Amino acid sequence: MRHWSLVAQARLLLILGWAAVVAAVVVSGYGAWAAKDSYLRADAERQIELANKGVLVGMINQETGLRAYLNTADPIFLEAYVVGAAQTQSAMKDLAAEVSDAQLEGELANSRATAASWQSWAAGQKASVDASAAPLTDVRQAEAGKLLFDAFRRANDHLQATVDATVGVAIADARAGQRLGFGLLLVAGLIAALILAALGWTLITRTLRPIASLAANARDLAAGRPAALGVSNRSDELGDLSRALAAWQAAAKDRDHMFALSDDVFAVAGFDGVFKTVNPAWERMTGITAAEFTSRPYLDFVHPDDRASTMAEGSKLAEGVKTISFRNRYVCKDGSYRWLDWTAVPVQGEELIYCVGRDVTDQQSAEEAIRTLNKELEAFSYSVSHDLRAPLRAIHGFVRILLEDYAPDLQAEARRYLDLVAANAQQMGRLVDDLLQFSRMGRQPLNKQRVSASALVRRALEQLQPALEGRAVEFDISDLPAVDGDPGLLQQVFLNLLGNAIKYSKGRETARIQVGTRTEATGETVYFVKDNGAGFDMQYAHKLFGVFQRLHRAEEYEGTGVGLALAHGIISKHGGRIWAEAAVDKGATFFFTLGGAPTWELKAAA
Amino acid sequence: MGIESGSVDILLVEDNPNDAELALHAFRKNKLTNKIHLVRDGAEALEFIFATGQYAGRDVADHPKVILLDLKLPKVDGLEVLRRVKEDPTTKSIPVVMLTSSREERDIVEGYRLGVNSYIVKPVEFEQFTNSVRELGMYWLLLNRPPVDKAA
Repeated sequence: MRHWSLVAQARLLLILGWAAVVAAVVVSGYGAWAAKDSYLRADAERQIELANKGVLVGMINQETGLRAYLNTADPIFLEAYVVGAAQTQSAMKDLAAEVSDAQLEGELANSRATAASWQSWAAGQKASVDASAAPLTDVRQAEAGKLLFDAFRRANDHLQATVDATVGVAIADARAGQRLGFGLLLVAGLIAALILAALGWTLITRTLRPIASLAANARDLAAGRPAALGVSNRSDELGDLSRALAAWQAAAKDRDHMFALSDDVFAVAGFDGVFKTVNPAWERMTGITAAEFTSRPYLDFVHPDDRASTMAEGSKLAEGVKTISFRNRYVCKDGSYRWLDWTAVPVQGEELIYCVGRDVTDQQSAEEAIRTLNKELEAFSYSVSHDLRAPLRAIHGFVRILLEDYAPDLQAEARRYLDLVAANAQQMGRLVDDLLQFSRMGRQPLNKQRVSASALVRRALEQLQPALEGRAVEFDISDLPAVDGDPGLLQQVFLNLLGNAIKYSKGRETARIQVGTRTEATGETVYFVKDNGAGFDMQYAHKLFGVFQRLHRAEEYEGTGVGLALAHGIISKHGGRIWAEAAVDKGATFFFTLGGAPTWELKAAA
Repeated sequence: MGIESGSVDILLVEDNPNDAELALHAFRKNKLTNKIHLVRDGAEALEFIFATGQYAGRDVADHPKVILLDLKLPKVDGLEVLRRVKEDPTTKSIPVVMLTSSREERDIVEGYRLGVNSYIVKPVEFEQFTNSVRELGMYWLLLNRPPVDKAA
């Protein structure tokens, strides 16, 4: 029965039981039917016996009456003779009706013939007595009658003996059939009883007891107690069930371990505002026990300033809205607070909220520190932009006044020096401006929108018109796809890249600048700006995008070394990449991509 | 420099003496020397405009034709001066041009929110500054006549 399912086992036993019962019914029915037939047969033969005896009685009556009449010639005795003849005739008729088999019919014919012989003799004797009206005295005649009657009696006896023998067989048959039927009924009943007992035994030992044991196991599992699952070797449904329970227990154990191990806090909260279950991380984080956390409304543990927002979040959850990154503070045993970032889902039918909280206290303080730093940096930049530029304005301004208003008093060499002072003041002014722009870029939030890259290039070129004066530049600008990005910042990227392309191709008789895109195998769109200018040595490529890094001497190409750093910063902020390919005197190509999502960005300062 | 008698065409609010001198030089270069009054901080600017404190004797209705206002000022800063001028119905029609030494967008945005009429970013290059001052002078003193103020 090892590979039989319980349903199959029960089905088999039920079929066997049914078969046994049906067999018992059939066998006992057959026994009864067979016995009845034998009894009927015995009954019929007893009728024959009775009729045969009736024939004999009729004949004896005839013979007795006749003998007395022959001896006395007194007609009074003829009455018995007549009655006996009628009896014989009637009994013969009955007998003929009962007899059906060939042997008895033969014997009946014999009996009838012998009876008729005697009756014929008797009728002759009576007729002679009637005629003589005197008793018969011829002894020979009497002996002849006796012989005839004895012949009849023998025939009658023989028939009787034959019938008696047949009746005995029929009765014995009936009894035997009865015994067989009873015996078979007994056997079938015993088999049915055995099968019933097997069924009951199987039901109790193989099914009901294991079910009770599994139920106890399931209760243990539900209560979190270890359960001894001992029937998992069975191949039937209970084996399946116990293995499923064991697997469930293993999974539950895994979950319990995770639940206990996690440093994120887990809680199951009711819509009534009380935690039902909390994981051990709570106690590790706050020093407050799980029992305490589940004994009072969780709002009691929330920072007073965060209670209103926590309540609002709770109501939203009760209405079926998920919580994603809601932040509040929970108290610790020492009175300090930890910041938690929450993800929570409500289960409305059960009125429960499943919550996972991450301790972001360190992140929060880091963010606050960054915000403070940002504010300081902003104040610093503001101050730099005002205060650093003021003396430069004074230097440049007064030098220009000297050059304009006092030119006649100055020697040529003095004027040259003053020009240099003015030029340096100007350069420093540009440095300050670029640096400010660079620092502003880092702090500005991205203002992302769909924008035409072609329009950005067009506007950048408009701004670059002064640099194109007196230059022969051939532009080859493809249609560019629309991009998702900050229009102001992306225009700055094109401005810087195109500005560089124009600047570094100034030595060419005809500068050629190409702007276009190509699509990478990954589906990413790569924008490029290519020139045929001075290029650079690729071994310095790593310095290209650093602030104040320059690959060319200042007297060759003016610049502050901020433009590419700014472009790099803007592209990074968009989640993209920027790189360049170049060779000395063979021109340079700058490539960039714009990633889908912006990289991590500081939350706007309050 | 100094207090001119009679009405004032330009009120220059500038704390940096170098910037002030360069501005005055630029005005002179562009023949806009007459009737410029220089104040050195926001408080003094408010006293002049509303004829209080050291300017108590001034006719308050005699508005300057244009105020050139530096943003970063001691005592009361430029944006506060701007706010007070634009809040007061008697002075809000005086054109105010913001002089700012930075392109910090929030200053410019805040200035416009408070009702500034124009702004100049003080460049390092003196020629640019001179050009800006000339354009400004032409526009505000010659072309853009302020509405006649009936108040006070």
